[in-house]
Amino acid sequence: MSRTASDFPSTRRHGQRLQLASRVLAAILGGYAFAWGLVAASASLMFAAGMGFHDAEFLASLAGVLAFLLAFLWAFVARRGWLVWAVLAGGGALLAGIGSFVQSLLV
Amino acid sequence: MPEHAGAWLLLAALACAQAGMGWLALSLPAHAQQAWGRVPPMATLRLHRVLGWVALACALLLCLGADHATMAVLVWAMAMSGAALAVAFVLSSRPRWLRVLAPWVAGRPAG
Amino acid sequence: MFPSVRQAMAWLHTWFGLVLGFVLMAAFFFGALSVFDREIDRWAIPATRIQAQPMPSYERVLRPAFERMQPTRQAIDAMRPRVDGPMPERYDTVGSWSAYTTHRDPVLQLFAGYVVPNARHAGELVWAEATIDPRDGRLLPDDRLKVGSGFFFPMHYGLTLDWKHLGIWIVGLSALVMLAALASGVVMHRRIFREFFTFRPGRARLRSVLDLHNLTGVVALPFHFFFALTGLLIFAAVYYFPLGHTQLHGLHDLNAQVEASETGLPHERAGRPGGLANVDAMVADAQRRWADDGKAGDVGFLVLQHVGDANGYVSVYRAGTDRIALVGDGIHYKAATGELIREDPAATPVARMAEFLTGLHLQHFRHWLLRWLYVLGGLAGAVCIATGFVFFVEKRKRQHAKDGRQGARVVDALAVAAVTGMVLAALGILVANRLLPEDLPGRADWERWAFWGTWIAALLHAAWRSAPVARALPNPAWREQAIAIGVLALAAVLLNWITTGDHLLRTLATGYWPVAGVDLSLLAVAAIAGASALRLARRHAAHAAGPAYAADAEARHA
Repeated sequence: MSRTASDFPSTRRHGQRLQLASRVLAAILGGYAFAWGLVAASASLMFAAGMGFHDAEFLASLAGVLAFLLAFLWAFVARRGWLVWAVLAGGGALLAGIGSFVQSLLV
Repeated sequence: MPEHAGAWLLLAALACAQAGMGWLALSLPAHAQQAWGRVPPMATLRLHRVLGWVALACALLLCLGADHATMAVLVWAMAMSGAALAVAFVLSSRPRWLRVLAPWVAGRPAG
Repeated sequence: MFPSVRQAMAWLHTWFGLVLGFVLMAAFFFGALSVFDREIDRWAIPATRIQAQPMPSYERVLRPAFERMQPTRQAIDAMRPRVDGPMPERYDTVGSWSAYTTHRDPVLQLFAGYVVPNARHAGELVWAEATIDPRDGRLLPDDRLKVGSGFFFPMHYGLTLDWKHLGIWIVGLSALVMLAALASGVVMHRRIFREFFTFRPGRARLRSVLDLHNLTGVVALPFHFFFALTGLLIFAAVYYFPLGHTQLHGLHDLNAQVEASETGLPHERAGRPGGLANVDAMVADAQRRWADDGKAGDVGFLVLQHVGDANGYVSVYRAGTDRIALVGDGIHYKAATGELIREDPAATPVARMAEFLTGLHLQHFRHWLLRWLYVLGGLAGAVCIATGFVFFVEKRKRQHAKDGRQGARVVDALAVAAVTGMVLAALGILVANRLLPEDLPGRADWERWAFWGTWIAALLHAAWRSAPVARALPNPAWREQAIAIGVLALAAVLLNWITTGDHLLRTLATGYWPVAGVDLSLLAVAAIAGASALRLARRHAAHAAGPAYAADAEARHA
């Protein structure tokens, strides 16, 4: 049977390093994107519901920081790396979109 | 509240926190062993645990008596951390000192 | 990616803890020092060794001081890129004048924001700062570095790395990693309740170091968690998640307009000149209203908005000396007539929570026991991180010695620099503060150089002495820097005596606690450093007697 790249320990290690690097980036950058999106969506929705802007911003920031922490931890626990990027970056973009949409309705 | 009255309340709160943490430590078999050279019966350990939690609750009440509620909870939380640290250091150097908290437990005679 | 959740958490805790632990050491250590930042200022600037002063009279003291202020060259130059057009020589259109004080401040900081014509963002101001003696309005010279509030404190939240706020971002990421390290540490710690009080210094080194790491981490877990969290929240709206000025600025501006009309506090200038009634009378009225509400208190914050304009108003805020909130109960008056515009209503539940969370971190309250407990918490955090480094090195140095790898040696040298090196740097700036001539031009810069120079020297020394670690032996730099700490701490106390005459017996006799406290703390540092150096020397002697002897001693204790 012919040998593939993953039969060689050095390429396996290289592959693992890339995977790890990807998880680290996903945790930091993806986590931040997700947190930003959550702050945008929750602040705009709470303001739309009648809360004062600064109150909404603070409460949203609290949610955002805690969400960042959870996203960060999950990035290393999840089985599939691509799922982490999809949920964090994609979810963040979606949430940010909601925030801008709500703003456009009010301004 | 006159300052000195507040100071006495806080001192009492620290003492309660210290006793409370000491009793909680003495409710754990490993630390009871360190203090007395033997493990007291389950009932005694349970007593220590109850005393510990009651003392910590008293510490909170005393803190609330001394300060505005927002400050009192912080003082209480930090006092408990400090008390736990102190108990850990006593256990690591002079564990028999903790005997004073439970004079009803007979220690193993020296020697 | 990882075989189990616990192993994922262990990898995260180890490697993120290692890399960002160096930043976190600084955040915790300088945070602990910042609890007493204003007291350190008084030690460092002998001219301010007076009693704490209340907010002085506007008419007698503040107005002449404000009128003398102008923005600095640096502030104007920093503003230039955001201005389309020429920038004037003098700035006389005042956006706001403000003064902030707490029960621990002997000197008063004044802030003045000036309207900049042709600014790209309408309404952006250029700022000036001044420090005055509140008793007579005398200006304090600019280049006296406030070593506590002007150096250690900014070091704590931003490493004094101001380029594009890079330091604030690095500390912010570290704070998040701190939260992750706490969570992952709890997951990794199998016997967290049973070993709550466990510390076994007599056991093998790896075990006792891990015990101490777990103890200092768990026992003060609420402190570590809340300080990292609230630190992030304090800067969230301005730096980390500035949605109000970016993505959601539409909502922010909408809110500002609504608020201005609801509260009667104009957001913009009218463009017509307006007079200024007696501000002292407004302050006295505010204090009377607080007392009527059962909340008698001192003035913490005084703001004059749109000075000289018909829309001008004066805001008086109560100092939160007796509670966690920084300032509150704001009362606002029309500048031209002194009539009441508005008394701030009780804060909303969310605002109260925000005040509690930010106030518990920023500590402008009066409670000496709580302050010292905070110092204890901060030092516990520093010990937790330091023992983390030591554990990392101890766990790997024997294997690395066998494999001929340098990893443990490098980490050990960096750890020395981060622990004893950092303390040396803090002592270095205090010693330089006393040694440098009083009216040396650019004195503040010299003091900062002394700090960084000492730290770099400590790093170089640690690296130079670290060769034994590659043979699985301890780095002698730990002991040598402990001795240096003892010497520098004593030198600082002696220099304070020699250069100011305020020796301990005098400051204790007159009850001048700010300076006595710093001197006593320095003596305590010297004592602990000396004791540590002795213990490390004994351990060294055991190792020098032969690795077999040392290993045997360890085995007997295991």
